[in-house]
Amino acid sequence: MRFASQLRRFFWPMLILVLALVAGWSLCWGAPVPVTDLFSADADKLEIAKRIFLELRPPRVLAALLVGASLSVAGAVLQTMFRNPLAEPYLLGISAGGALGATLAAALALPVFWFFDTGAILAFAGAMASAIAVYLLGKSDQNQVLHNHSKLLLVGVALSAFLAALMSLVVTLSGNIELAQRTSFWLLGGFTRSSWSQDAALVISFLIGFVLLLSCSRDLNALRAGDEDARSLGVDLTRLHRKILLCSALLCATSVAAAGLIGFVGLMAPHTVRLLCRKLEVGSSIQILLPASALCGAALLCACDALAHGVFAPVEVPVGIFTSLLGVPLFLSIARKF
Amino acid sequence: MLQIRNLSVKIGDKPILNDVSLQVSSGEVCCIIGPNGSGKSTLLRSISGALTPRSGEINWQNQPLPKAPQERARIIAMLPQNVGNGEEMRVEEMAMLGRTPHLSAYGAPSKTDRESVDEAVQLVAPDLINRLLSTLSGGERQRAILARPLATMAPILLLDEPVSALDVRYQHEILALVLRLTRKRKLATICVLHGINLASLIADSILLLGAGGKQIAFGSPAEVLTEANLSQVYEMPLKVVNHPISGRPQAQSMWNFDLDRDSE
Repeated sequence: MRFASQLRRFFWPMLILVLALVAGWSLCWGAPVPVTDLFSADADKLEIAKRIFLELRPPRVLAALLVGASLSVAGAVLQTMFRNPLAEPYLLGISAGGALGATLAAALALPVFWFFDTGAILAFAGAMASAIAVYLLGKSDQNQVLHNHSKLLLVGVALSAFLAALMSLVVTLSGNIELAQRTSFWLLGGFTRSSWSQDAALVISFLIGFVLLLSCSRDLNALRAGDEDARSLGVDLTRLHRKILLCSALLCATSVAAAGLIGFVGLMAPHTVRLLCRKLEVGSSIQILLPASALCGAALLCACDALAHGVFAPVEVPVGIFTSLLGVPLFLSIARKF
Repeated sequence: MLQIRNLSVKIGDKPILNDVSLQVSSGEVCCIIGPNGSGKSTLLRSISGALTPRSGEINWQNQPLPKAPQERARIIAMLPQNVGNGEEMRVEEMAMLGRTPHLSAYGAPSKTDRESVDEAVQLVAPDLINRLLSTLSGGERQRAILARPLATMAPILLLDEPVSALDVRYQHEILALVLRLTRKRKLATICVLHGINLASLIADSILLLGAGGKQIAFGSPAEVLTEANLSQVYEMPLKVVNHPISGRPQAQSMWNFDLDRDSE
């Protein structure tokens, strides 16, 4: 395949180019005024355009990019750990744990410190708890992470349902109608409340999670061959699993705190990258998979967000609707191969 | 020299290995044989560190093996019986995993790492280097995966049934390669095999395990592969003859296949 080796050089430039194009598109599309108003001579028009394109839209686009990248990296690394192509923070119930934490913080009206508000901290606690729960429940008797694909997902589904029930309970008991409304929208995911301070929290958590995971690429690569193999290659499995759970919970929690429940991004982006890697013969090592998934997931969620605010403009729909519409067919096509 | 003294492993209350002792010098191949469930894989896993033995000691060059997984993996390269999936990997990538204990945490391979991988793949599967594991046949896969422990360049090589999926010719080719490398690189090789006769042909020493992981005999093929030992362990009639050329013991089945026997 000489063609593939020609194209291989364009793997990274292509991903970055797509990301830039999508970000630009999302920035401009579906706004009440055209982007050309930025160069308008009319002072009023200029003022409105400036407000939209320089103040309101950029933090939102950045949030979509960061949440997409975070969820995709979490998905890629969970798929590696569970050796299950359908593992993903949303499907495993890790996102639901984060959501419960964030709802709890909102219901109790806990105070906000700087930008790491209590919502994000409780979300992290919730995500971490459900990550540990799904890890322990998905394990088999022989102290090995289960290879049985369906059991893990069943655990995730059950856990999600349980946490969703708890969340409804919290919202109902709080007796706060505004919270109920906000929660119902937020459960489908959206970037309507994005702000620069939230973006800062996202950047920090993404960098921590991503760098920590990338810095154990060697062990993650060995893990791809199986637990037993990784152990015989000198990998400290307990430590590695702990690190993976911690990082994916962190990535997922800040994403949920910022944008609510967004599913399937962590499924679509890593699989797209794997497909590209296979076609272009780039290799499938973690050192390529993680950064490429981050770029791809960022572009993907940003595109979904553009659709969410652009397709039915001026009506805005939750972004989770679009990720599910795209992600479920992929999920089914992978699940069919089991 | 790899020295194992009075090794016992229990899982729950069930003894899996019972008081096993053996030694393998550098440059020698020791084959482990025994019926299913006699603890052959457990013995390899105890040496590699995947299992912690209940009692006994394992010494390498008169020192206990290091407990830290990475240090231990630099000394011991193991090929598990069922190598996990990793189907998206190319053969070369799988072989590179053998370098895991030598790599930095980020895992960028050095020139030495690449050379070791190249050499290993050229030895066992030069024709498969760029193939995806998922596209290989069972035999090709087993051959290709052997490149991984070889790439580690560890002084101890543990192989768990490395030729079980291969046809007769490749069985011989691969075991001849293992034997040649053991001599050339001065490896202490322990190899679990199902084929008694193949083990007899290549082994410098043989460990025969029986039910419950009990050590029946350890020594040269001629010492271990006696009619009494084999018939007892495998619970079937076996006759031992000498190989016409090497003179090594070869077990012949004395099973009665007479189909009319039941109806009589």
